[in-house]
Amino acid sequence: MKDSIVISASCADAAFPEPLRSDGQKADAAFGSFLVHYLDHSEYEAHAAIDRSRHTRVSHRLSRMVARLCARSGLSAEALAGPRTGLVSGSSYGCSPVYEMHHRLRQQGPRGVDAVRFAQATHNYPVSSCAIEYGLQGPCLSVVSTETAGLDALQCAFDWLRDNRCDRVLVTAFEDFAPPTADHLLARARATPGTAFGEAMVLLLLERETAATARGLAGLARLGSVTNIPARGRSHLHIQCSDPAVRTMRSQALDFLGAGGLLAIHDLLTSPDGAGPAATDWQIAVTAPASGIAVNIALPQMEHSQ
Amino acid sequence: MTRSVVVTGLGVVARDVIGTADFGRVLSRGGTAPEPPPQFDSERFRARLAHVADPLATRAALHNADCGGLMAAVTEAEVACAGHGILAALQAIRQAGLDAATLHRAGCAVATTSGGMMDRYSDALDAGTSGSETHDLVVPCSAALVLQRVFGLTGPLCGFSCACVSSLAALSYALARVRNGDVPLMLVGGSDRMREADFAGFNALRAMDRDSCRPFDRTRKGMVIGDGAAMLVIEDEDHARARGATPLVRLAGMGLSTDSYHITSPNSRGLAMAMRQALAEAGRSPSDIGYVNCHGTGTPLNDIAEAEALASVFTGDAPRPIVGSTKGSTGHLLGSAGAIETVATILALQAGEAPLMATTTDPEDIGFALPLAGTDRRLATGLAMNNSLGFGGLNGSLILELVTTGEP
Repeated sequence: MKDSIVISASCADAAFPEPLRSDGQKADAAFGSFLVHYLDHSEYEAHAAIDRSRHTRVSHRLSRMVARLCARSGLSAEALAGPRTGLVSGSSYGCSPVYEMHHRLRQQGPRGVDAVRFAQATHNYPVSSCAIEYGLQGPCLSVVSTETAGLDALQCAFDWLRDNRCDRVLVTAFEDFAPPTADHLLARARATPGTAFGEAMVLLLLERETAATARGLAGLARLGSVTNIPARGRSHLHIQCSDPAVRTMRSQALDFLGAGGLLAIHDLLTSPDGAGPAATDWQIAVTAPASGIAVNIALPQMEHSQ
Repeated sequence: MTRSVVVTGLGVVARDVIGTADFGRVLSRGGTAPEPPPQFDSERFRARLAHVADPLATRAALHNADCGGLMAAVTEAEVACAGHGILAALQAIRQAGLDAATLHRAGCAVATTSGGMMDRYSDALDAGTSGSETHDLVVPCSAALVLQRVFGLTGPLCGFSCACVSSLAALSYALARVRNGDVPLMLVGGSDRMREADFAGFNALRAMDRDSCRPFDRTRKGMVIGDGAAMLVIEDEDHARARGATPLVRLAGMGLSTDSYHITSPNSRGLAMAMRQALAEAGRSPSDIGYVNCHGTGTPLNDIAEAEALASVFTGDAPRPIVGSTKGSTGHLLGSAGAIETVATILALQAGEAPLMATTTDPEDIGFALPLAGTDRRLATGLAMNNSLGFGGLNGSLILELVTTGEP
């Protein structure tokens, strides 16, 4: 029998739409508006004050999230390491250090560009640094596309598992806002009333069902298919259950751009109000002006155990 | 069912190159000496030279191109962002003989180094303007978005920015889409323009040679950055033959791996793994390979790791391939390197001869024949391998098989 590919664990951090929360997640007060919302980066900032050479904001969060995901999935560090684990990221804007390089060069000249910062100024730095930290030697790539980015990354992971390039793949999607990305988003939000953007990072573990069940995992989401669908004029996240009696989950309060699709999957897997026992087959689709992609997942005997 | 995937069209824009005929000539003579980039003042950097595709020549070629109704009008901002890519894509589409209806079904996967025009947007903001000219082209996948719009593509769209392995990443994605039957054809490749930040960064790393890129030369001191674009039409072989197209090569195998070793220093183990994967997927043995287009940046760290990896895969007494690098001729196109080197490899297979490494005059003994001046550069087989390595320890290996005219 064909071995299904399952999502065996998920983690996510997402900005909240509420402004000026006491826990450090705050709206973009610097702009005097609440159109761009950030994650709490205080843990990274404390780390960077001691050692800025190892991590960027995104790689720091991803590093911590991989540890969380392993704990949730019962995957040991030894099992994770090696050539049978792949890692792929998806993002619409990519990593802010790529843009900071140019700004530092403008402000400070060649002295503003040092070797450490340049090495971190690639969109694949987060996945590469995690691959080094955790000893991952399988395929490792960074997708930069549109609002579909996270699901595009999921499609790459699906390809790799189907083609037996590896046995498991960590799939992450993130959005990381710093100037000038934040300025750009602010202009976008102002041009589209009702839109507010949020930073987020999501991490899913994809593997074969037999491997997951061998570790005692239950309540797994089977990944049925990942298909490219026609583009639409406006970006849209669509979450639909095969059972019309089951209400569709609430839409996301912020636009998480390339991370939105994976965040919807994470919410579906973990939200107690997302689905009931009868709600088995779901489609998460992201359409953008240039492309579209849909993921079909089945939630057999959903237990919301994570 | 897994489909056979072939290349039916090629396009390339690089220094002194608009089209494969130009490229073949440049490769056969080994390129010309690099020059200061016209986009910025490189005098304040340690290494000052680059291989830059002339943006004015690209603009003129696009203006004068016979588009055959295959592309929409292009804006100035789109030309600035992805002009090289548009021109290379048009060449590939024309060579593939696509009509508008077939072209519109295609998907698009484009590699890039940093991508988009966020740098120019940032400059505009600093200058106190709105940046409206570049506002819609700042995201890293902007080149893919431009190609999708200009050519009216409706298939899957994806961008890849994973350092210097980006193009092989895009090729692996495109290959999967066609093999899987998601779409009958894809436009795939890389498009990059010279950026001062990249130039400054590689200077900061002291990875750039002040004079020329000399892969596998005892006197090598590093890379010379280049820019440009290379695009390919890849297609389900049955689809290509049904519409009467001529397959150039078959995409026979792909390998992807990670060193898990160091952010900027490569390790031979990862690349060897990618090469073995590609060979296994192609169902071939190392002795079947006639030519390897190496990443060959001319940095000591790269060349040493790559030579070690090659030696670990091509072992024993079996015939060994000619091993070369085309970066001495084209410069290092970073995110687009894998695409232009795939085109170079295809041209080598078609010519039956490895591209000349004219800048390598004092070669190291790496245990493989290098295509140097005065050597026999003829290829023993119709199979070649193209390798890319990227920051972060990323590796890609692609095997290409020449499709001979006698094949059904």
